[in-house]
Amino acid sequence: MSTKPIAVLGNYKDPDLLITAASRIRESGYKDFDIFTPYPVHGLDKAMGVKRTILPYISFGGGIFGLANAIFLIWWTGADHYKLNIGGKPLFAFQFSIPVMFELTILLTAISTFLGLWFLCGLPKWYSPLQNDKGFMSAVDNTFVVGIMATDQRFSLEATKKLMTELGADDVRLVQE
Amino acid sequence: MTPIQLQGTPFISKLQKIAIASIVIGAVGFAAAFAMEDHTRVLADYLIGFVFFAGIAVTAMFFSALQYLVKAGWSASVRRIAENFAGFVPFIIIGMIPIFVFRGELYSWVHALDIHPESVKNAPFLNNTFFGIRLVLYCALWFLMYRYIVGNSKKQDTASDYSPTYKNLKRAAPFIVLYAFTITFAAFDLLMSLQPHWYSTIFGVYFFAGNFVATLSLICIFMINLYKAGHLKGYVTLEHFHDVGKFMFAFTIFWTYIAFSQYFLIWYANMPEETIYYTIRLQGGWEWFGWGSILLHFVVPFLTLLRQDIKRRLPIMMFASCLLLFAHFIDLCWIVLPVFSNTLRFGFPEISAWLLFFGLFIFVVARQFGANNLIAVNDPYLKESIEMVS
Repeated sequence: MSTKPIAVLGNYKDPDLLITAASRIRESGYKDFDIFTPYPVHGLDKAMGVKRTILPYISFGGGIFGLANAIFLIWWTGADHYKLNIGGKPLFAFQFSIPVMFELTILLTAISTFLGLWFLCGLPKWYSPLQNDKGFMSAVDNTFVVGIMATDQRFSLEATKKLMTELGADDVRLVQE
Repeated sequence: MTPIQLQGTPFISKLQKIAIASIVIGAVGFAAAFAMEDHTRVLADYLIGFVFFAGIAVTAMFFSALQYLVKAGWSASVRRIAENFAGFVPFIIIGMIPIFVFRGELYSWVHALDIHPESVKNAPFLNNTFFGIRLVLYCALWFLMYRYIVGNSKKQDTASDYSPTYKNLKRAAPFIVLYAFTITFAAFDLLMSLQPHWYSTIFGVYFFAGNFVATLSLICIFMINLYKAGHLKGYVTLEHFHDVGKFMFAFTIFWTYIAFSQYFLIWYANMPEETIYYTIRLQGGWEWFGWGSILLHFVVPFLTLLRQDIKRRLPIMMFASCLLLFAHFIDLCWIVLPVFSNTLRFGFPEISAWLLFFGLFIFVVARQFGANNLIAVNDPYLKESIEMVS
């Protein structure tokens, strides 16, 4: 086992304390830090300074793509490539295309949202060095875990540990790989 | 919580000025139309104006009951605005009287046996007696619901315990069922029976969807004005505008979905007794109203309200609300007017009839805003509503 530092972790039990800590860490200039919580905490992303996601644009793009696909599919199959007269209806009309346009828009919006979310979250992630830390797993149970990553420019072992302790974290510890 | 009284504020006097100006202009225009135009047209315009605001008043009551039914936390601080709109409900019965008296000019089935012998199969439903009974029944039921739901909500302001709210929580469920039936059959009677040979079972839902969008838009307009005047400080935040905006957005899509469902089946089946509805509405210039409906009731509001941050920008929300109200008017005109004229006929009689009812509605609503607390001060959900993050 090598001794490459990964992150400094600290545990919190109190959500109010956690939010104060998050905004203090952001104000100290750290950019590469993350907080692992068992449930969504209101106001936490604001305190952490998390930027608004670009996911809606991915969804919208997917929706437009689905809509365009539907129009093309109906027009090309029915009115261009293989013309079939069905009940004397026009070969192509928006009236009967709208259900397909609607469905494909919804479908492609949903798929692009789903895949976009995976992409933006860096999923699938099979392994994270943080998993080796025993206390980290309590983030899915009853603890909020704050981690300042070693990749952050301001990261220094002593100062980061000191900051975390000042901010009221329990069990401040270094995770190594 | 301290009660907020609006009596004597500039907001009320401004509302009253708008109301009186609209009543005067509307009444003059309406009288002129009555003298110059044929009476059927003027009655049709009256019907449009009446249905527009009666629908909003009844649906505002539905909005209030819906919040009780689902025990909504977000809406406690905006619910009273809708309940003030519902103050127009007792006056609906007065507005119904001319429609019943002059039914012979509006509804061709009144003289069915004289001019349409083939429509006798409708007679058990569409006859003078039953029509009158139904109109009275709608008014009576709406008035009772108004007294129960809105009355209890106001009682809660001064109550020492939460029993009025608990009563409303129970009453909201049967109310919603009654509302569904009354609004559906009112749509059948007042609007769909203009063409007695044409049926559409989805027509009631279509009417409801248009009404609900219009009600939400009017709530939003009042919220914006009250918010800017500072009356809602500490009670309504941008979060509430966001939620109303989501509602408007969702029901704009719902309206489109229902409108298209009706059109789609009729287009596909292509049966003359059904297509007649769209045939007369897609020729002689009326097609502009149809295209206007699609554009103003769906495309523009959909693209306007789609983004999340838009719902928190008050000028854009104001624009969207006014647009949707206008689109609802266009939609009602498109339902009613082509029955009486083969070619496009739209002008000052339509607008003055709408203005007249707008003035009357605002006059009543201004009195309600003056008489009631602006906020449901004692509502058990009020704290949750104020702290709400959408």
